Amino acid sequence: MASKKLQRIGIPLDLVMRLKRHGVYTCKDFLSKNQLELLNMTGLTRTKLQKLIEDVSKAAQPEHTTVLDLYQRRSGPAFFPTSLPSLDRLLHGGLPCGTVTEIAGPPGCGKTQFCIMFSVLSTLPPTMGGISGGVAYIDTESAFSAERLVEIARCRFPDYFGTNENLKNLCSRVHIYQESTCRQLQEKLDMIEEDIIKYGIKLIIVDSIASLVRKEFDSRLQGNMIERTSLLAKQAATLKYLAEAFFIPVVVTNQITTKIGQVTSMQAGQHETERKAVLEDERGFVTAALGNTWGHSVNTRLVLQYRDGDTDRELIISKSPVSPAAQFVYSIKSEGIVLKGTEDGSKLLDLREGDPCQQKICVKTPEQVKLCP
Amino acid sequence: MQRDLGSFPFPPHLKRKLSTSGFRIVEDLSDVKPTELSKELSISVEEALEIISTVKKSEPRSTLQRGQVRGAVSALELLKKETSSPGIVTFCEEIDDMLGGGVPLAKITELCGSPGVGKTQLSIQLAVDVQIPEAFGGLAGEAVFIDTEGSFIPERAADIASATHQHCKHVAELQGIEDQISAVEDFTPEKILSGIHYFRCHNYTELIALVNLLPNFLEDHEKVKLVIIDSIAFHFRHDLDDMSLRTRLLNGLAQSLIKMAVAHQLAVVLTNQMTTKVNVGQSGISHLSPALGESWGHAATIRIILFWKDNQRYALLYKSPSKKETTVSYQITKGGIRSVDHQQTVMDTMKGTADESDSMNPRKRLKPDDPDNG
Amino acid sequence: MMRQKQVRLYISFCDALTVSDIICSDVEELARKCGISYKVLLSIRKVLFAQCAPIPISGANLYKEVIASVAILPTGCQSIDKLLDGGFYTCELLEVAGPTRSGKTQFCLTAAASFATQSSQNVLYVDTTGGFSPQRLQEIMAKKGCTLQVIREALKKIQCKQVFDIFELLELLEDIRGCLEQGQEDDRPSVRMVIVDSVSALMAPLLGGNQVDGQALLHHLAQALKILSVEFYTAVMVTNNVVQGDSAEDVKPALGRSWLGVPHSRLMLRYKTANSLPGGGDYCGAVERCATLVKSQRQPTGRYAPFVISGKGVTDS
Repeated sequence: MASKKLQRIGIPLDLVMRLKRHGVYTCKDFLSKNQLELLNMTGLTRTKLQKLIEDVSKAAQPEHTTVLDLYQRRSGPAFFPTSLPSLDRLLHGGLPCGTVTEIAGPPGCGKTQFCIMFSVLSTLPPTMGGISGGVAYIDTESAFSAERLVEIARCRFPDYFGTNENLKNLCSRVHIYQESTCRQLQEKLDMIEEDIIKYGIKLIIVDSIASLVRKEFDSRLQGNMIERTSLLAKQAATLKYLAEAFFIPVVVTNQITTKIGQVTSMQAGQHETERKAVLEDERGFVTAALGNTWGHSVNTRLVLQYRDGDTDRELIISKSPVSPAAQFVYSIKSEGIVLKGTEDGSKLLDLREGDPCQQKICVKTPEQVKLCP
Repeated sequence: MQRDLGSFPFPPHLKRKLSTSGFRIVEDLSDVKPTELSKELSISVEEALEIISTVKKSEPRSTLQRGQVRGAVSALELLKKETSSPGIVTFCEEIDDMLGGGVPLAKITELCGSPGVGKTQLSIQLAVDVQIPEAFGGLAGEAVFIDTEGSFIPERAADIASATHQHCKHVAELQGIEDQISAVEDFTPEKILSGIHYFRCHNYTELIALVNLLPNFLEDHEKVKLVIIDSIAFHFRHDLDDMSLRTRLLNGLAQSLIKMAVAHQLAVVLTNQMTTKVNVGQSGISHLSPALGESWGHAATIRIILFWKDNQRYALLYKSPSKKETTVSYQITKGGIRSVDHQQTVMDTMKGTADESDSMNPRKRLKPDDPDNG
Repeated sequence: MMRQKQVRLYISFCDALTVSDIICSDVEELARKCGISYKVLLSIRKVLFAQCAPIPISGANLYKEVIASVAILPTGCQSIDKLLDGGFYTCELLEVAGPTRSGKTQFCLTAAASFATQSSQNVLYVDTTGGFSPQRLQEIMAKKGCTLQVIREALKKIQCKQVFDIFELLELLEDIRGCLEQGQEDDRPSVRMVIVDSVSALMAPLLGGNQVDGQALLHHLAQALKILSVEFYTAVMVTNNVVQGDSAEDVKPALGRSWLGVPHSRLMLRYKTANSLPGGGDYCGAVERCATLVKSQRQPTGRYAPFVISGKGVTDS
């Protein structure tokens, strides 16, 4: 309630007018001033001013709950099932609602496939593991394919999507927004609230968050990077707000980047020989793009990568508030993503935890993937 | 009595009136009655009374003990107080040791680290551990959790709470101490979760408002022994373009927090992000440093940096007035923060507060050179 | 010194209420205004001048007085003592400035510990950041080889007061002054060293923005600190943050231009190793730091002394 107008919170009118003369209209303006400024503006004595600050703070303060309330009185499911049982198990039941989940990986590894599959799932009725809601699919790479959507739906749930009616229903509930500049994307995100209410949207997908900023901001220029970071932080804040306000999952996809110099300074105290070894490896290593600040903004990071000499791919839980690091093998079939594995339908690989910002990602062959600077 | 009236927190128009009427220093007001002052300055009686009582309050009392400044406490008394109040344990013995017995009360501790290194996890762990019953050497307190990033997952808190409950139960059964067994019955996961007060701040205004009002909240909830802000950086990094305003607001927050920490004898834990800084001078090599800049660096009394190295989590005590720089490793399990070497360490940690293990207990460790025993 | 001592003159001096009003006004005009004869007014003025004017002291007498009352207190670190021409002078305001974790608080604690163990007088430690650590004081004294009895006595002599508000601090300084005045009568000042750690933590939230009152408060603070040090022969030490200067490597003390001239001496602390992120195992240990004298009344500036922070507090490297 930061933008609450001062006259609405029941403080005397002459005070409101006095503050207005100094350009203080809202709680936000008021609380950004220091004590001396306020003494100056209001002309109140210190004890009275203290009372006024309290009153204004009361109007702007967030609600109080206990974690027990939060835990017990959740409206609706807290997790969005991914229909991949072993992944769901580790994630406490799926993608956490109210937070931002990122899928990062090299090109062609299946990021968009995941997104399309999630779109299908979210439209399903709860009896089939869905959440029976619409999808806002923000496509910045023009990678969305309606044919693929229908194909996954048909192959994955042949019974349910046997009828044209259900298919039509599916297509009408996936709302595609194609944005081609950073500004358009931010504007869309600012406005999307209306659509969420209008169409009953329960899943937001941004595919991909990285492509636009990386296209528009040349990372070699100093000032650019600062601007890029703050733009991304703003987008992250908006996405988080949407996720929480409607208590829905938000899925974004991210690209990969090559880190070379960073690692040496990161580990400054390292032994000289090791440092050399890193330097000698000219290619560096590949990891999720967009840097550290963005990394703070995502709550869950899933990393996709190729496996050596194999057509299968791997899914890694790289950062999660609920799950330990884990690794799955999957392949892309006509019914979407299918986890490979043993009898219980999955195969959990042994994996040591690592820094999600330094998570190494295997690409097909280094020559084929254009390494980003 | 020579103090300038301009140095008192009066609103400017009163200051102006005082000085034009010839009231310059405290002495000038010594025999003036509120009604007289109100007439002379043509101000309201209430304002006059406030001026006079503010000034009176500041006068040095004649009954002062020689060499004793009002309100000052000797270091010896503080030492006694500090060593008798335990810190909040983390369940990682190495981190507790590094801090000298857990996160200390009446101080601000800042946790800095890159994404996913465990800042939020450690915060939740502390919010649970602050509630450990006194029978186990805990504080039996409550926690306030201020979430600015929206990264708090109640399910995760439930995991850690039930692991802690199980653990205490285990210890109680193993040792067979009556107090502990009865205490653990009350120490259920539900009880733990209801002892964490949760606030979600969507912008920095809400955060400032909340911190302004926290003293009131703490008066109603006396058991609160820990205030967590996860994270302090988030809103200030994207919401504010005016850097000097940002610095000012952050400094103001830090001041309110330390005031609160001392007044209510509680621990304040802040988390902060790491940001990539490019050193222009040094051939463009970039390095990571805590966000919010140099001036914020002074805000926290204790600063811990959490980082990854060779797929292992480490905690570094970067700044502390009482302990030296140390690096220790830790891990995050399903049950929360733990030592790396062996799962059993937690057991020892818990026992340490109850019996002889001297590495854990600050009260015991001080013994050899404790002046009280000399 | 022109004292702002006010004489409440209830004679019908129109606007002239204070001594300064009478002295500053034109006598003829005043005489005309209030109907008192010119002669009378002149004699009143004479009396006032005699009462309020400072008494001249000869240089030789001042020197004698200074020699008798100024003491040099050790900082606990020999190389820094040398840098400061022997240690703290008890008529000086010393500022210690430096970035985070450069050792400001450690320097204060070491100084307090070494003074308290060697002297019978009290130290007042004003803590504005929660950084005061009695445990650390105890450790420093113990590592320096003090006996338990000495430590106990010394800890009693270190008084700590936590203030988190600039107005509280001003009040406290007034209190200390009261204490010292009392002590002067007994010819034995009770507090000989006052440490304020840190000034900038209190002032930073109040400076800037659309007001100048913060600057005024800073001025009041400076005056109060100077009175303590100069008039009562107390060693006063304050710590200050640094802010980014013009270039990347250049740092300057915080609190702005007007504060720059306030302290008599200023030490800048910094650590020598580049501020790289922790990563390696050998990162920890004694990081070498360095104190540079950037302002002084008696010593050439620009010299520096290396030091380390060990169990004994701030010591020579």
